[in-house]
Amino acid sequence: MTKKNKLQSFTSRIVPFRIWVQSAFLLVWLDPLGWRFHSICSPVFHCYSCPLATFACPIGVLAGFSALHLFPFIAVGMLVLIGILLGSIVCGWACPFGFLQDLVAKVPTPKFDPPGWTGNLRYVVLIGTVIAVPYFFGEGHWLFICRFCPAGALEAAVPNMVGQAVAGQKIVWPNALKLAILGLFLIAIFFVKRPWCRVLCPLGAIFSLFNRVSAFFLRFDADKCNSCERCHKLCEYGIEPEKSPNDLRCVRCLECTGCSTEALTLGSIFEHSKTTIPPAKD
Amino acid sequence: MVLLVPVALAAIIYGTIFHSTTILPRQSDETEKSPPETTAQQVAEPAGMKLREPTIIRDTTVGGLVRLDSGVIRRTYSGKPPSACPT
Repeated sequence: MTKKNKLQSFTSRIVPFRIWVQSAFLLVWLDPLGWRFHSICSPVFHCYSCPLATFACPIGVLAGFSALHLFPFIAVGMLVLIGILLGSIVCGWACPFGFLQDLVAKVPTPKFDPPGWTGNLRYVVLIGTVIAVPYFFGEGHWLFICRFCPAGALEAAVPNMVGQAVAGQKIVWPNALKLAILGLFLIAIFFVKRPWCRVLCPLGAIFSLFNRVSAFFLRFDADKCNSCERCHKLCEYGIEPEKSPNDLRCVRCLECTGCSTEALTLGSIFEHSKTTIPPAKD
Repeated sequence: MVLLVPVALAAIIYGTIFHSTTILPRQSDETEKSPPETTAQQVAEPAGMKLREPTIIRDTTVGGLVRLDSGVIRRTYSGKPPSACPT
């Protein structure tokens, strides 16, 4: 057994506590101090209309700027910076919407894997409803991302409706499409692990594009692999990590690094190891 | 690809400090503020204000800006911004 480097040691220590890291990030996004920094984009999928939102949702900002025919320098710069450094680690460790789906996935119901090709729908959502529809038809179009986003429905519309009901005011209902997608989402999360992230999330689509070129990446050491395929069982997203450690569908939960032979580890361009396999060779 | 890091940082700095766009105030405000002798020409072409990108981001989060058919961007509110976006 070779000696672990600092990054590998850190990874193996922290992966069992991922849920606590997600909880800690949740506190950051949920604005416990009421700061409402809505001039700043967060790197996670969290609706800014949520009564408890610290920052602006980057997807909402991209779509909003597209509708205004403006280039969002801050949002794009922030997404590229996070993506090139971390890839989709944000999805697995910091995103509150992913965390919600992770928590519900712990309910013991039968789970199904969507076909691999459905992951490409994320790019359709990104290009279509975040960029093209807002640009050509404005924010009033029914396919504008915020008009059917389940995060917006769950985190903003529902709390606001409850608030209106409690205050005895007239309840403003979201549109039927938004309610239908929210309903489908709430059913799907019990039977598919992270259905939004895997099939439709436009933010995950952006970060996934950096998975193969990011500064931190998953490294596979073929010499240590004994083909036990334990990593297939550890991966909850139907990926075969030894074949494609930096797969575009990976949310980098790093559960596969629990492989007993340590064939899969988190690597980075900052370490100087002879065994480092560049992510481009995936 | 690491070269994208300075490019991304440059985009963030440019957007935060330098990038601004001319936004027209809400139309009714302009009409209300216009003195009686204001001509129709002046009402049709109200003075715009330069908003920096962080302010545009904040306004976007509450549906506070709209792009008109003429291509100009106009604020949808005056005074205190709405508490949530209309979607």
